Amino acid sequence: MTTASKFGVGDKWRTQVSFWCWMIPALAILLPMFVAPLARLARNSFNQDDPVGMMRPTWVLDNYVTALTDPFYSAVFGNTLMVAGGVAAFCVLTAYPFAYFLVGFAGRSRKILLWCVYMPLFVSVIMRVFGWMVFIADTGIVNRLLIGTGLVDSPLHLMYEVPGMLLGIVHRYLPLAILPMINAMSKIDPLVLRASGNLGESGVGTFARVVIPLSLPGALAGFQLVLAGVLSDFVIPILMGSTKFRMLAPVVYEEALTNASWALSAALAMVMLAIVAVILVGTNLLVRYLSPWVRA
Amino acid sequence: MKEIAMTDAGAADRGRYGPGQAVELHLDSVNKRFGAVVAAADCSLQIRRGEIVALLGPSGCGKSTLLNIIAGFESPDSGEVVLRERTITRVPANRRGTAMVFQRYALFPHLTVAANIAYGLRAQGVNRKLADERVGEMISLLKLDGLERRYPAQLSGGQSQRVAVARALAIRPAVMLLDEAFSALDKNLREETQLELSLLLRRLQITTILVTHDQREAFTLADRIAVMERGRIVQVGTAEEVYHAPASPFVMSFLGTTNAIPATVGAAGEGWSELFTAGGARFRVASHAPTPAGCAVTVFVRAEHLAVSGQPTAVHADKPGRIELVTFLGATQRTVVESGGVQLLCDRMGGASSGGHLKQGDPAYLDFDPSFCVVVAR
Repeated sequence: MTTASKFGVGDKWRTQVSFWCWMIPALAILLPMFVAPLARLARNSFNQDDPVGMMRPTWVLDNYVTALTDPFYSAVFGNTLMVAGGVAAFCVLTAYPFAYFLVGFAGRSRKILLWCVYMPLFVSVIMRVFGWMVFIADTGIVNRLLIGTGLVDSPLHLMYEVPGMLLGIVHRYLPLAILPMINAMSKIDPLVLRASGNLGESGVGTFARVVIPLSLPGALAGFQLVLAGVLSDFVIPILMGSTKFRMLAPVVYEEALTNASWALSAALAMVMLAIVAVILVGTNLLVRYLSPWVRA
Repeated sequence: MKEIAMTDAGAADRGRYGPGQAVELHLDSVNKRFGAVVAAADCSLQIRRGEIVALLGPSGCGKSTLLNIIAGFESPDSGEVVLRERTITRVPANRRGTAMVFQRYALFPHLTVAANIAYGLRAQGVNRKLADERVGEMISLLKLDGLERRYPAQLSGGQSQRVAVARALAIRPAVMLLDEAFSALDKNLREETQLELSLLLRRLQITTILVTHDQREAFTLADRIAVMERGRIVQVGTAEEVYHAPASPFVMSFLGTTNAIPATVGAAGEGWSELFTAGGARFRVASHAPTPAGCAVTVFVRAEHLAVSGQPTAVHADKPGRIELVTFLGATQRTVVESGGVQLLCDRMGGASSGGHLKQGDPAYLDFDPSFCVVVAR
């Protein structure tokens, strides 16, 4: 029996062998460096933390009970989900008009605008945080301007507070919302927009009845990317955030390395993993429901 | 010899209809340039209610631009578009009452067939009950039964085209615009669809303008044909008129297969001139303008008006040409003859008539009726 694939035709056995040959480099990285540690993490989450040693190998649910019921951790999960959901929604809403303009009207400035989206991705996140410090620190440019112009008497505390952290997070993740949106908007046939006008629909009506439904899958893809990114972001909360408003990744880090609670931190991480999985599956189902045409 | 003058076809068309025949759409001296390219030059055209007019021309002749100007996707540099006695030149596309069927159909990929057809009705604020009724009407009119809940990606080319037509017809447009609406279909399906749509549009009395580069399509569908060349409407008339009485060599060579034979005027008299070609043909044509002897001209003659013979003929008795190729084209047979350094095409129905027995390499004499020739000075 022979089978045909994009790169050639061969009998079934040869196709199987060549499939695995091509997969080896990827598997060689993925299995030991991602799947194995994750499995280990999952196993650890059922252990018991030992205040003296490392962990006692057991199979108990204590860590999950703590992670899900302790008010401290509930607040951390709440904070993280709220920030992630809010930032993801904000990024998508910001990306919409930007992508619409870039694809539909930008013309020559299109390349420059695209470059502005990509540029931050090429700069280390640490460098970007330092850049923000210069701007929003208590003695930074923004506060000096505000005080200088007499708009405020004492500096606004942005840095090491929630507003500064949100600024940093939005700045870091906005491109991830914009890029899938640009992709979705580019795929809209301009002739379809013409057809809408021709059939009597106004510009606003066309945006609502054609552009939004056709770009919805892109919007949800952007939402997912930003959400997953923010949920597990460690750097920005650590460098720009507040100790009064804890985010999950730094908390997990602290539990593991400062408090040596490896099992509890593993459980926290697994809970977050489950939440992310549920949200991703949920949004995928939402796409299927809202945009049945995608699968047609 | 046919009269050759670059007539202002638009001017002839202006005022062609009396008050009894309602003019539905009126293009008045429409001009449009894109940089250095003239897309529409002084285009004037009047279209009666229920009439089907084809804008026919090669690609880049400006026919699509003219259609886009009527639809409101482009605005003319000067001139007016009048629809049902209302000047719509500056009216936005969504308030014109035109409906277009696009070359690639431009169906809404996220909407089902039924929702695509209902799109324009909803935009116009037609209530749901009436809209549903109208959609049902369109579904049965265009034989789309059973496809209501499909998405465009699940339709064949022919089905997509019918949905595009249904979507346009549903809004009861004042003018229907077809932009190369059949070019994406296979030949057999295309001819079938053209015929069906032609009958449908006539039955519904829908004023229609179609843009095409396909002579067959224009002839099949249209009552009148406006032939366009480089932004200009060079001739307007019925299929017979533009085919049998072409206003210019361009119109003649664009419609059908036409030979261009260089010739020289040998002698001329009152109302006639005698021409001879390098290939040895010598014949007399009627001529209204006096042409001096020795004047170089080009003789245009259609492939189906040109025959080949093994014997000398009345118009070609000297210096026989040579058969280069005999091709079977199904309904016709095409013979390629080399005569006086030019290759000439002769088409014959079936292939059983004159020249049918000739084979490659045989000497051949041309035979044609000089009254079918169009002669232009070079």
